[in-house]
Amino acid sequence: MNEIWNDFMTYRSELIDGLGVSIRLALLTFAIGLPAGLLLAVASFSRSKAVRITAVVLVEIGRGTPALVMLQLVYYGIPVTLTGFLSAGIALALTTAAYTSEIIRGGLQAVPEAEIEAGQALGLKNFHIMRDIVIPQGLRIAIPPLLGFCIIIFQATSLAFTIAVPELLAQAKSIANVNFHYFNVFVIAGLLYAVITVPASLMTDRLERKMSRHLQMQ
Amino acid sequence: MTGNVWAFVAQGVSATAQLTVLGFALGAVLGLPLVVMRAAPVGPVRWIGRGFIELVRGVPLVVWLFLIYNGPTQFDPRLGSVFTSGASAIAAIGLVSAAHMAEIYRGSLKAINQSQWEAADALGMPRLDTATKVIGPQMIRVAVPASAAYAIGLIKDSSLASTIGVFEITYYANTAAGSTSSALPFFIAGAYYVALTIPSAWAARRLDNRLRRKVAR
Repeated sequence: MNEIWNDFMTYRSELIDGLGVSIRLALLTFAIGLPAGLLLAVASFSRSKAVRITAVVLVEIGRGTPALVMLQLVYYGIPVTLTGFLSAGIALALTTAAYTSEIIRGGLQAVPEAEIEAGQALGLKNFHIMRDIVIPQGLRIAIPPLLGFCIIIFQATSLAFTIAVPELLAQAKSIANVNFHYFNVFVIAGLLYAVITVPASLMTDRLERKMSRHLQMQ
Repeated sequence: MTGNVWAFVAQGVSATAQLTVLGFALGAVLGLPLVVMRAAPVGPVRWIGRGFIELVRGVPLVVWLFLIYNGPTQFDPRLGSVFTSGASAIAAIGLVSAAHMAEIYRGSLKAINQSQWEAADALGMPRLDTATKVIGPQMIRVAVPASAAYAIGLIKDSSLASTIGVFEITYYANTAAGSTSSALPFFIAGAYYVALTIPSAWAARRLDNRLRRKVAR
C-alpha cells in the first residue's frame, strides 16, 4: 500500500498530465461525436430512402468495428498526416456517433406521435416539427443513457496509447517500463480512471431515477 | 497479395471466438454470486457487492489486462509463465463481464413478478429453493437479450487482448499492416468482426424468442 503511494508521489505529475490528456481527448470526442450522432439519428427518420439506408449502413459499420480497429484505421488509413491526438479524437468520435445515434433515435421515437400530428395540423414544416418539438423532448429522454455512454467512451480513450497519444495509460506504461513496478503503477492508473468514472456513474444513476420517477411502476 | 491478407488475418478468428466465449462464460458464472451480494438484505454485504461492481466497471478493460498480465511480474518474474497472455486476457475479460453481467441479472430480477417469492413461501418452499428453482431460471431467461447484446460487444472488446500479445484478429491485422504499411488489414479485420457479430445477433434473437414464453412477469 505504502509502496503504491510512494510510486504515485514520485510520478504524480506525469500521471496527472496523462489524466488531463485523457479528459481532453474525451471532450474532443464528445464535441465531434455527439452532434454527428444526432445528425445520424435525424437522418434515420428521413423521408428519402437513400438517406435512411446510408444512415443505417454507417451506424452498423460504426457499431460493428471495435474502437481499437477504428483507431488504427483512422491513424494509418487517412492519407493526410494527423497528430495521434486528433486521429484518436476522430476515431472515437466515429464510434460515439454510431452508438449515440441509436440512443438518440430511441429518445426521439419516445416522443408521442400525436405531438407530431398536432404540429402538422398547425401547418408547421417538417424541419420545424423536428427542431422545435421532437428533438428538444427526445434529447431530454436520451440524456441518462447518453451520459452512461460518455463514461464508456472516457474509458475507451485509454486505447489511444496504441497510437502514441500521451494519455494516462501511455504514461503508466512508460513509467512501469522504467521502474518495473507494473502492479503498483497500473493500480494507480486504474484508480485514477475510477476517480472519474465511479462518481460519474453514480450521478448518472441518480439522474436516471430522478427523471423516471413519474414512470415508476408498483 | 490481398487474398493473402484475408487468409492471414483469418488466423485470428478462432482466438477471438475463444476469448469471447470463455471470457463471457466466466463472467456469466461469476456474475451470479455478485448479484446475490448486490441484492443481499444485509447492508455491508450489499455495499461490498456494489463497490466491487462499480470499481470493476469503472476501470477500462485495457488497464485490467495490463494489471493481470504484467502486474504479478513485479513480485516475481517467474509469475510471467503463470499469467500468460491468453490466460490473463480471459481472466480480465471474465472479471469485467462478471461485473456487467451482475448488473444485467439485477435488472432482470426486477422484471420478474415479485409475488412469486410470497407464493413459494405460502407453499412452504425454503427460500434457497425459491431462488434456485423458481426465480433463478426466470431471471436468466429475462436476462438473455441484454446478455446477448453484451456478449456481442465482447467480440469487439476482445480486440484489446492484442495489446498484451494474444494472437487474435486485431493482432494479425496489426502485424500485416506493419509489413505491408497499408491500412487494408484493418478494413479486413473490421469485416471479420462485422461478420462475427451479425450471425451472433441473429442467433440471440432466436434464442430469446424461444425462452420468452416461459417467464411470469
